[in-house]
Amino acid sequence: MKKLLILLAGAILLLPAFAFAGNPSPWPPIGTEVEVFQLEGDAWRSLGIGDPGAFARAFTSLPAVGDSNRQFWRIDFQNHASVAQWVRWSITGTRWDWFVRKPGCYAADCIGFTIASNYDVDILYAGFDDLLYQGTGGVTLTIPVWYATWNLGTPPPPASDEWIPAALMNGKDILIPDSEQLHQGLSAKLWNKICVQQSNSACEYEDDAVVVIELKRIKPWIDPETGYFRPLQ
Amino acid sequence: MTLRKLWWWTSLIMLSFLLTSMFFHSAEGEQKQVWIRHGNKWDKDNSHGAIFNVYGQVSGATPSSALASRQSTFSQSLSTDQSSQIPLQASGVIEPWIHFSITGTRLDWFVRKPGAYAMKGASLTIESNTSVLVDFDGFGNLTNSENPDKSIQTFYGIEQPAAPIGQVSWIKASDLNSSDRFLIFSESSPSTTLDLWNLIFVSQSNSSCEYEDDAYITLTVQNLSTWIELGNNQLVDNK
Repeated sequence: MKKLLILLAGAILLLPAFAFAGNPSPWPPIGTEVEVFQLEGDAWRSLGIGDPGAFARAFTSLPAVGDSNRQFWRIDFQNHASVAQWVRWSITGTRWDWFVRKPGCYAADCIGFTIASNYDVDILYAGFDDLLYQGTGGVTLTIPVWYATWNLGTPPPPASDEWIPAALMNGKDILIPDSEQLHQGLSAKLWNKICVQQSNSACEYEDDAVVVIELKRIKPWIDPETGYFRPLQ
Repeated sequence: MTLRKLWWWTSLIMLSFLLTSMFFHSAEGEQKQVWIRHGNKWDKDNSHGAIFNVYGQVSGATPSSALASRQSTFSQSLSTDQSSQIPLQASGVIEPWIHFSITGTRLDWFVRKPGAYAMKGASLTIESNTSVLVDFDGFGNLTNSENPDKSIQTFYGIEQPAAPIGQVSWIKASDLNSSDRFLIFSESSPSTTLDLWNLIFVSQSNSSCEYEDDAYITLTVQNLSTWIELGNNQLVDNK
């Protein structure tokens, strides 16, 4: 019995992408940090002060005083919010295992992918290739692989252009622009097709690849490595 | 000849000075140096924080016209004896004044995730010897700098100090503009502090961006005299 092992490692990385819009608040901010409360249900929960992992932080600055007989005092007041880009994603699996008894072309709905964000997101692919023979010797050392983004319950037709050879996935840069749909979450299925030939020896075949999700707007007060607040210093 | 000219010019100058002095005293009074107390010592006050005029100066036992000022909030008469009574009147005007301080006029939110967040943004303390109107203008939702049609829902609360967040009455930002406060001060309560709370609802549909609102608070001192120049804190007759 032929047994194939396919490994796809989907490592998700958040890369820094510095893109500024508007007139962002300075970091470190001027003024004094104040306690922030978050509404949870009907109750307020204190987020404290100085927590780099807090969902929100707030600062107050530019105090003013007046002392006179003037009739009018106008106190200019400014309220500013800097909202960072967030992403919420899920993937049904990062490893796919084929078990093949006979030569032939096979397709499967390998993974489901959902992503939600509040700004542009880039999806990058790297390391995709045919499955490579893992043993010694052998006759045909690779199993050709194709991928297709296809949301239906049955695979694309075998000859469809939707099937993209694995190697051509690399360098693909899929930009998902900011939209209300993206804020609420988009879903996609990634189909996988392999063609096991008669010349493929019984062995293990494998390929490791990476999918990168890149946030296109990292605020200067966000640490791009952790996604938390930068230190105040 | 030279001595005669000198005498003539000296006489002319003295006469001018005498006439000017007489006119000044009778019409406007004589402005005196005012001293201000700093701790245990007195310093000359040249800041125009107060002025002091003396009117109708007399000498000898001749009764004079009364000392006068245009406005009077207190007065006092003194006499020595029945035969040589010299009426003296001291009068003064205490103008409405205001002292205020606000702990912050700019609030900066840094939000990583959608949610409802609140903070006590500023404390406004006002002291005065009269009533003061606190007027809010320009308050609204925080507007997206790239797309003004998009905004973050914003609320404010005006509370007494030490009020816990659970007791804050939240007012929609735009409604705050019609929520003026009229503060009345007295000797027993010469100052008031108001805490300004802020609540924002960052929804999932708010894009990553900068959001802002510019507003202002106007403090209006009531019962101001006509001789305080509006907005300039100078003793000027505005009639």
